[in-house]
Amino acid sequence: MATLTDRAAPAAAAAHRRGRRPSGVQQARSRAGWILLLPALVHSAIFIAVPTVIVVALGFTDTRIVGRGSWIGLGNYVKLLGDDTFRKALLHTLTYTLVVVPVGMVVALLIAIGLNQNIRVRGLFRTLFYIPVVTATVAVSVVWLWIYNPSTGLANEVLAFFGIGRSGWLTDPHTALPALMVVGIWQGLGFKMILYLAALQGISPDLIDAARLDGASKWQVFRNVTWPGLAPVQFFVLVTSIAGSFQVFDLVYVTTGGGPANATNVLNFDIFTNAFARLQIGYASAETVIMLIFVGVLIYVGRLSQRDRKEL
Amino acid sequence: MTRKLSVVAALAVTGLLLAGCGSAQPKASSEDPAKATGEIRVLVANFPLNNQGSAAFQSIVDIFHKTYPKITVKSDFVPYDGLNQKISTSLASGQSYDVISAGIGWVQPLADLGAIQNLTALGVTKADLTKTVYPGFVPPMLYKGDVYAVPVVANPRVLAYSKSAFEKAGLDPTKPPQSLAELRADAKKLTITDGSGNITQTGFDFFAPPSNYRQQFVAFMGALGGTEFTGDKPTFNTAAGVAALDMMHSMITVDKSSVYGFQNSAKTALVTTGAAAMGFTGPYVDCSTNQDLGGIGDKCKDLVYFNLTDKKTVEYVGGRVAAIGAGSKYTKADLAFLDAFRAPSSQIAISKFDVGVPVSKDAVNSDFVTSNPAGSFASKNLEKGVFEYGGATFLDFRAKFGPALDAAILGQTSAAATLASLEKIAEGR
Repeated sequence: MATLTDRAAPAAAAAHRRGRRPSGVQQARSRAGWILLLPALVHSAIFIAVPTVIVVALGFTDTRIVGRGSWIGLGNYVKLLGDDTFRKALLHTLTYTLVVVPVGMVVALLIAIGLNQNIRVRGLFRTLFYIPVVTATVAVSVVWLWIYNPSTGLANEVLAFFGIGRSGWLTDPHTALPALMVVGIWQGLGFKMILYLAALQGISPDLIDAARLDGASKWQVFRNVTWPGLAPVQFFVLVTSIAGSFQVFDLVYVTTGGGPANATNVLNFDIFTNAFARLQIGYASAETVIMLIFVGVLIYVGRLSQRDRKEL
Repeated sequence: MTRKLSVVAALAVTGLLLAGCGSAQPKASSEDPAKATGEIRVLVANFPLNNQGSAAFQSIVDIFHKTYPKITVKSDFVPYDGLNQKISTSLASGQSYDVISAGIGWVQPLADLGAIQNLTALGVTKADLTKTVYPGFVPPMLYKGDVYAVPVVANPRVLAYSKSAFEKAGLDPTKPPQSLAELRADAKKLTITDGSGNITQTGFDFFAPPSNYRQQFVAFMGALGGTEFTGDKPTFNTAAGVAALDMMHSMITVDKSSVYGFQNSAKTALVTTGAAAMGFTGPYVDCSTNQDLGGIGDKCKDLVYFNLTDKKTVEYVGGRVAAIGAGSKYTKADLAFLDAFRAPSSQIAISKFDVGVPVSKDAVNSDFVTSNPAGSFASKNLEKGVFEYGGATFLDFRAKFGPALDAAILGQTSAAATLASLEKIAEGR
C-alpha cells in the first residue's frame, strides 16, 4: 500500500514541474535533507574532490615535494608516453584486469549456482568462500608467498606430486603475473559469490518452474530466466571488480615489489614507486590521472555491455 | 520536528568540522641543555619493532637524556622501503622530523631536496669525521663539500665459502677465488643438482631477493676497478660495469650456479645454512648451537671469509647515517642526539640487530667485533669498502636500478644497454 510519503514525493515533483513553488513543509524537508547530507558532502569534498583537483593540477608540474615545483604543462604526459616502465605497467594492469575480472565473475557465478542448491553444509561452504574477502591482503600475500616458495612451497610440491617440473613462480618473470592473478581471482571470489547468491535467490522460483513446465532445458532456463535476472548485480560486480583489479597494489607490494624485472609492476605500484621512491610527485600525479581515465573508460564500456540500460 | 532535525544536523556538522582541527605539539623552548623542555621527533629506518629494537633505541635516548634530560623523544620506526614516504609526507605537512636516520645513499638526495640540514654550518666538519671513522665513510656524508650526515653503523656484505664443500668439489679449501673468472669457475664446480636439474647445493649464493641485486653488482664492479658514482657523476656505464653485470648474468642464467632471487624462508644467507657452498653473507653469524634462534653451531668453523678480488680487493659496505631534519629549530639538541646515536655502546646495540659493525675506527678491537668471525673479518676490511651512493638523483636512480639489473641478469636485455639506460636516469635525463 502506498504511504503518504510515497504519494507526497511525486506530488511535490509534479508541482515543481508545473512551476509552482514548493510548500513551506517541503522546503523545510529539503533544507533538512541538505543539512543531513552536508557532512558526507564535506567529507567527499575534502577527501575526494579536493585531492582529485590537486592531483590533476600536480600532474602539470615537476613537483618533487608538495609545494616545491613549477608548471611544465603536458611535459609529464609526454614523458609518460615514452616511459617504457609505465607502458609495461599499464599493459600488466590491463592484462591482470582482463583475466581476473571475467574469470573471477564466471567462477563466482558457478559457485553461487552450486551453493544455491539444497546441499548439505552449504552454510559452511558459503562461510569458507567468504573468508578470503575479510582477510587482510597482507596476510593473504604472506601465505601465498609460502605457497609459491620455489624450494619449499606447496605449489611446487603439488607439481612434483604430478610429475611436473618445479616453477620459479614469483621469481620467474614468465609466471609471476599469472601467479598473482590466481591470488586475485581467489581472493575476490567470496564477494562476488555472495552478490550472485543474493541475486539468484531473488529470482522468482515461479518463473523457473514455468519455464520447466514449458519444456525448457537447464541451459535454456539459465539463459532466458536466470541470466536476465542477474543483470543488475552483474553490472555492480563488473564495476567493482574492474575498479578493484585496476587498483591492485598491496598484493604486489608484499609479494614481488613489482619484480622480477618489473614483470609484476602494475599501474598503482608504479605510481607509488614514482611518488614515494623516486619522489617524483608531479609525474606520479599525471600517471594517476591516466589511470583514472582508463578505469572510467573500462567502466563505461562495461556499462554499455549491459542489456537493459534503463535499469541503470 | 523538522526544525529540531535541522538544528541537530547543523550541530553534527559543526562538531565534525571542529573535530578535524588538531592542536600542534609544543616544541622545545630553550636550547639550554639542562633546562630545555619539549619534544624532538626522530625518524628511524629499519629498527625492528620488537623488544631488541626498542631496547636499543631506549639506550640511545638514555644517553641523550644525560645532556638534555627534559626533552621528550618521540620515535617513528619505518622500513627502508617506507622511508621516503615518511620524509616526503612529513615535509609536505610541515611536520618534518628533527632527526632522521637513513641509509648512506640518502644523504645527497635529501640534502639536494633541502630535507636535511648542513651540519658543517652547525659545527661538524669533515676533519671531525675523518678523525673517528674509516676514511671511506666520509665522502658519502658530503654534499657540495659540506657534511650533511654522520655515519652510525656499517652494513658490509662479506663473502664466505664452506671448506668441506670445497674439499668435496676437489678445490683447495685454503685458496678462495682470486678473480671473478675463478669465482665463476669454482661456483660451477660447487653446484650440485638432482636428477631433475634442481639445484640441491647452490654454487654461489648472491643472497639477494628479486630486484635487489644492486649491492652485489656494486661489489662485482668494484672488484673490476669500477665505481658506481664519482661525486655525483655516474661512472658505472664502463667496461668494468658491463663486465660485472655480464658475469652475474653468466653465473645465474647461463651456468645456473645460483637460483635467481631465491631466499630461504628465514631469509638467511644460504652459505651459513649449508644450502650454498659459497656466497655473500652478513657481518654477523650466530655461532651458537641454538638452532631455534638461528645459531649455526659447528657450521661456523667450516666457513672461511674472503673478499671479492680481481683488479682490486673490495668489500661491499652499506651503512646507516643520522642527519638533522630541515625544519628543526633545536639543532643543539639534535646534535646531542646524533652524538648519542654514534656513542660506542649505541653503535654496538644497533649493530646487533642491524646486521652491521660499528663504524668507528677504534671499534675493530671491541669485544663485540672480535667475538664474531664474520664481524671481525668485515670490520678489518672496512677500508676496502665500496659503497652504493651517488648524487642528487640517487633515490630516483635506485628505484629503477634493481629491476633494470634483473632484466640484464635474466638475459632480457644486454648489460651494455641496461647500464646505458640507467646512466640517463642517473644524469637526470
